[in-house]
Amino acid sequence: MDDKTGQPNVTDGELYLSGIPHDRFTEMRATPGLVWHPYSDGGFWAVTRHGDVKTVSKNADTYSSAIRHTNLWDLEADALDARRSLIDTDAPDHTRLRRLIATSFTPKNIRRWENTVRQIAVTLLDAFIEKGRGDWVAEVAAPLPIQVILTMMGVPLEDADYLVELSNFLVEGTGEQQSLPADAFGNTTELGLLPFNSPASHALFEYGEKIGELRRKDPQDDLVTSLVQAEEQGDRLNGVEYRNLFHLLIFAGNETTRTALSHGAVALADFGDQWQRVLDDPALIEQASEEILRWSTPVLHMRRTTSKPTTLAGTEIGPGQKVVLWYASANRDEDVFTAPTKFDVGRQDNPHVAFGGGGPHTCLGAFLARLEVNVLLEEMVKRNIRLTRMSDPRRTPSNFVHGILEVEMKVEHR
Amino acid sequence: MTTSESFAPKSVSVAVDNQVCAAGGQCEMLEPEMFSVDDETAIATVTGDGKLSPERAATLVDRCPSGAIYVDG
Repeated sequence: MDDKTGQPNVTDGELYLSGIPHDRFTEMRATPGLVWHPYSDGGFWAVTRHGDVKTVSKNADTYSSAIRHTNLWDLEADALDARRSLIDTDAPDHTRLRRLIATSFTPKNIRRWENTVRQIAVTLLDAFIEKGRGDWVAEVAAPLPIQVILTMMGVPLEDADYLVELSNFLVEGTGEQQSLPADAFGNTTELGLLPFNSPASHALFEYGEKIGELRRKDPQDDLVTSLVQAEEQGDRLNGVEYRNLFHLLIFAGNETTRTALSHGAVALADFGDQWQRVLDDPALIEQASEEILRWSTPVLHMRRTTSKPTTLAGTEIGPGQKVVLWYASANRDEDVFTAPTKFDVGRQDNPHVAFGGGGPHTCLGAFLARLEVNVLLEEMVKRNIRLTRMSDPRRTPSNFVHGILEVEMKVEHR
Repeated sequence: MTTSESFAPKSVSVAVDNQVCAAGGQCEMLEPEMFSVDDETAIATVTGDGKLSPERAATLVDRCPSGAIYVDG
């Protein structure tokens, strides 16, 4: 509980150990205007309704990503400069960076990876079925997306476990406590200058530099090569931008879809009737994937900062104020979704904001994520399997990533 | 006698502002026959006739992450 308001503090990472505080978000959605939510440095405007999340997302001139940080806490200018990536830039820098990488993630170019995704999914799924039970996160949900993004980037698959481990440390950096000492991985950089304040970022930067160096000498047909070539052409990508983009691709390319695949499996196990509908009618797979994305909402929020005075939902907002987009709340907005608390694989109209509320920062990897979820469901349907949950999900104590660290599943053929 | 009034659904033309497009790819997903994101320039181009129903055009405008799609008459 927060001392002053007597309300649950939705920024308390520990709260998420028992799931998203949906009751509090429901109250905030029903409150006229925007709710001012306390935070250690004062507070922020909590944007919890679907329509308001879209309005803020699409008006990037007013609601900036480049001012002071896109996470809850403010950064000093030097830290912001050291971390600049696609996430915390506005046009024109954002447009330049996004165009550099965006063509690799368009629908038609992502479709070219379908066989690769399927091969990886089949190998993992068949191994899991063979064992009969195990930790779904470690055996399927985590390895699938990391292996796919590493293949696209041209990073050796042998290093998948190491890079997943680094990602886990990065998520820890969004919470109150980190298990790593500041000098872990030989880090000597001030933590404030590293993404997620984590020494794991230093390790990821170093890894990116090493593979970048290799590709400079010996170019391949992969994403890392195209990034270092853009860097060599001078004005398109500088060294800091390269390492931050590498960092972002590894982190966002595995952490988010891992979360969707974890929550998806839990939902399909817990709501057996919904999985039966998919088994009976595989034409529902795409809708089921979209529902899994809505249900899981892998990224719980992002923050914007106003560049000028504005008004949202009748609330006046001054310049330089924090505005936090709670995707986890917008995806349960009763004004947009019929029976939002029901997991419904047949949901017809599903304008979820799991990839953001539109605007220039819409998830770059959305089509890749969809492909991964779709292909895994297709292969599960083909094998006519049923998942049974054998343990409570062990959740991530984070207000930012809706993660599951571990969940024991049993798998049966029907 | 027929009147000049038409009851056929009207269509509108859509276009892409190439200064604003950031290759979000939503248009290519929603209307693959009509839009294609160029692999070199990372800018979407209209490859079909650009004609859509007003409702569909509004959806395309709404879904474009960059705000680059607009109704052009």
